[in-house]
Amino acid sequence: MRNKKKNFFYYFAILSIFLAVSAQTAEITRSFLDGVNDYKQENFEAAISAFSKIAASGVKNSKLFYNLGNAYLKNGELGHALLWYERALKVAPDDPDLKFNYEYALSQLKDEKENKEISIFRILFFWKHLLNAGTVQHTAIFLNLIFWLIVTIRTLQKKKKILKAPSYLMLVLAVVFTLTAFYNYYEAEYFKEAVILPPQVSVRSGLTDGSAELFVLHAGTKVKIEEEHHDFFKIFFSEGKIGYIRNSDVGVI
Amino acid sequence: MDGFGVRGERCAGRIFLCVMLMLAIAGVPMKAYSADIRAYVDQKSVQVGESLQLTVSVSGGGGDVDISPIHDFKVISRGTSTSVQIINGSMSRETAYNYALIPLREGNLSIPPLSVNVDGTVYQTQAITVQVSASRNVFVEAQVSNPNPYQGEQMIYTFKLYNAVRIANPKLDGPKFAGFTAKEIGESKIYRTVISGREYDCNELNYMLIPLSVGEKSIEPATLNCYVVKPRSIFDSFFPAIFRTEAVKVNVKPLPPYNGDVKFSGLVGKFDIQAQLENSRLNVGDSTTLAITLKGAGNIMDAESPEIKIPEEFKVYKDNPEEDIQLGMSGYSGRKTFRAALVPIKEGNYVLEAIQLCYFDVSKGSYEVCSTPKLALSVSPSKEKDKLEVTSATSEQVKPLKKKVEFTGRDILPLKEELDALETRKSLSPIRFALLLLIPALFCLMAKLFLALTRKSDDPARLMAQRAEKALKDACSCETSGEEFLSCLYRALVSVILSKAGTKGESLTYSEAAQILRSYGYTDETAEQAAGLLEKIESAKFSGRGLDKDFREELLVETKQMVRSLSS
Repeated sequence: MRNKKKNFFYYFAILSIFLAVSAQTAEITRSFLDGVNDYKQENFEAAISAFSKIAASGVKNSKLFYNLGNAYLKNGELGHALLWYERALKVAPDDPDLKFNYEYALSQLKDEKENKEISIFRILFFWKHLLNAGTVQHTAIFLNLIFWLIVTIRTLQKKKKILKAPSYLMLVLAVVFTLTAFYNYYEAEYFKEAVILPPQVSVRSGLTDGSAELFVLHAGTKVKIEEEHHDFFKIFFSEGKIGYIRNSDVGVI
Repeated sequence: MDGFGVRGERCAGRIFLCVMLMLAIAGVPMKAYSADIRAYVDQKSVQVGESLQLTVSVSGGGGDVDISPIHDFKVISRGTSTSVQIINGSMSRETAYNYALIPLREGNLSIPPLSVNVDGTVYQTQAITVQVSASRNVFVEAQVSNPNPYQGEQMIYTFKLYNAVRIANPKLDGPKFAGFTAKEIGESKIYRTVISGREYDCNELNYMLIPLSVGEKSIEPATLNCYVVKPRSIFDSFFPAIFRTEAVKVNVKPLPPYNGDVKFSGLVGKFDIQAQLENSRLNVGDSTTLAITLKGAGNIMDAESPEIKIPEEFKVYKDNPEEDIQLGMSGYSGRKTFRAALVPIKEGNYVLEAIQLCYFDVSKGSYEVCSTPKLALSVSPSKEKDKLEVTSATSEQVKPLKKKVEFTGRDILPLKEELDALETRKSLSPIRFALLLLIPALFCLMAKLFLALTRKSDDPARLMAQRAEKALKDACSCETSGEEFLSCLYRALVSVILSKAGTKGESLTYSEAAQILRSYGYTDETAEQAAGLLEKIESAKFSGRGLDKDFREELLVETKQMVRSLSS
């Protein structure tokens, strides 16, 4: 009798969880479809609200971010639009639709980048900007597997010359992709960038609103975050253009 | 000259000693006189630049002459001379201090009384007046081309040395030109000229000056040190001389206030501007060079690229400016050319607006604006790559049909409506990623380990030892056949010996068996016993005699013991 009661509660708990998850999934799906309809009816604020709700629930998907970028851009909020396009590019840098809309949004920027940064990492790992982090990781794992498979076959066969060239090729490719994957981890951890959100923001010399205004940046301009303080970020725009900005004025990519 | 003075003193000292010695011998009494001090000059009337000689004589001995009160002359020491005179048996001694004096200006110049210290007593000489008149043999002068320039205007400072007599070793100590940018113009000029009916050699030096600020300025005098050469009968005489110019006053005027529409370029002088297009007819994507040339006299090197209004349908690539500037007697002059490559991106007829240059004309004292004419540009559609060459039977060339696709409107692409937009793509954590990389490597290591373990069973030593054990076991179970029993014993013994050598084999001679065991560290006795047992088994095997039970038991026991002892 006691066992039957225990089983009943067990199944009830599983069923409750299942129903809760299903309800949440249904809610997210409904929000998404509502967002799409709102966008088509040019009710961009409602579309932003619907897509933002899904993003806030933890969904990380380049298509969702792309839709958010589109909705913000149509709503005239260039800063937010570029922020979501940047976030989408991190997940899917090779999406042609995304790149097209991103370029369009960039053409509306007011601040011209003064010096193009030439990073040694960007030169060494040029392909990382063509593939997303997941693809790089899976490729590295696959190439690594093939390499060790060849090594194992060579060991078992006792013939030293067998598959020599493919093993070297696989080794080089595996090392390249593994290094790229680790660089992606490093970049995600230590390189933080942000996008200016309001139409115009003063970059100041200190951590108060009364500090001297050094220069002005406009919506959509991308900056590097060098230091994080309580209410302020120390940002780097270009060589010699460094200052402090309220963290509510930027969106971290 | 100091060298002559020292030698003179030594010589006088020697003469004095000789005279003293002679007097001592002759018994002439010595008489001491009080000091008599005199100052005199060799001439009382000289010209500017000429020198005169001042002598201060001290009779009765030496003294210290203080020449610091002399201000109107440059004083050069000419050494000391001493003379001794004996008149009517009494001896007198006189020391003369000689100086060359060079007058520093015209007029009646005074040599004030000089103090002479003789053995602690100070004597004063008489004051001397010298009349210095202007020299017309040698003189210098300095002048500027414009004593009232504008700020930034170029002017020429000229220094001239006129000499009707020969001079030697001239050294010019020129002014510092404080408050001006100064640059020497070329080499000095040497020519002959006539002034007031007299012929002079003239040395001329020129400097280009640009005043840096407004206000009254004074260019300090230039000083020339030299020797004036006066020919004598055989040898020339050299007299030191100093000639000095007057200070030159310059009043630098500020530029008048400017209220014009065209931006003032900062250029001061006289300038002109020209613009030229390399090609006024071109295709989309082709480039043409726009050359803007500023030319004139003044601070042209400071000219910056004039403002050019280029239509938006052109991309502009600016080049570094080209300068051809010379420094001459009118200051800096020449041309500065600014070039820019223009690349049209759209077809059409365009007009480049006139380029204007505003500068300050020093000759007119006002701001002037000069401009280039408007330039027309005709841009045709691009021919690049779009040219479709088709060779038909009639060899007709078909006109290109393809055109570069241009945006006719701009908008973003639509939303992505697929529901997979709601799937979260999780990326691997660094630890999981590293583990997934390590797993194949671990599998490979395991395979290697397995191989190493399996290969161990192929070891000949191990195989032969196993074989020996097996043969011994077979020998124990062989009850019927005597020959098979002996073969088993033989195999057991040979196998155990070969296992020591780590090689495979079926047979051994006695001597080989003993040698193997010796070489692997067994005693001679053991080796001999093993070889003996092997011989015994072989003898029993090949003799053909029957095996009684005792002999069989004895061989088995001996072989077992030997195999065990060698296996251990």
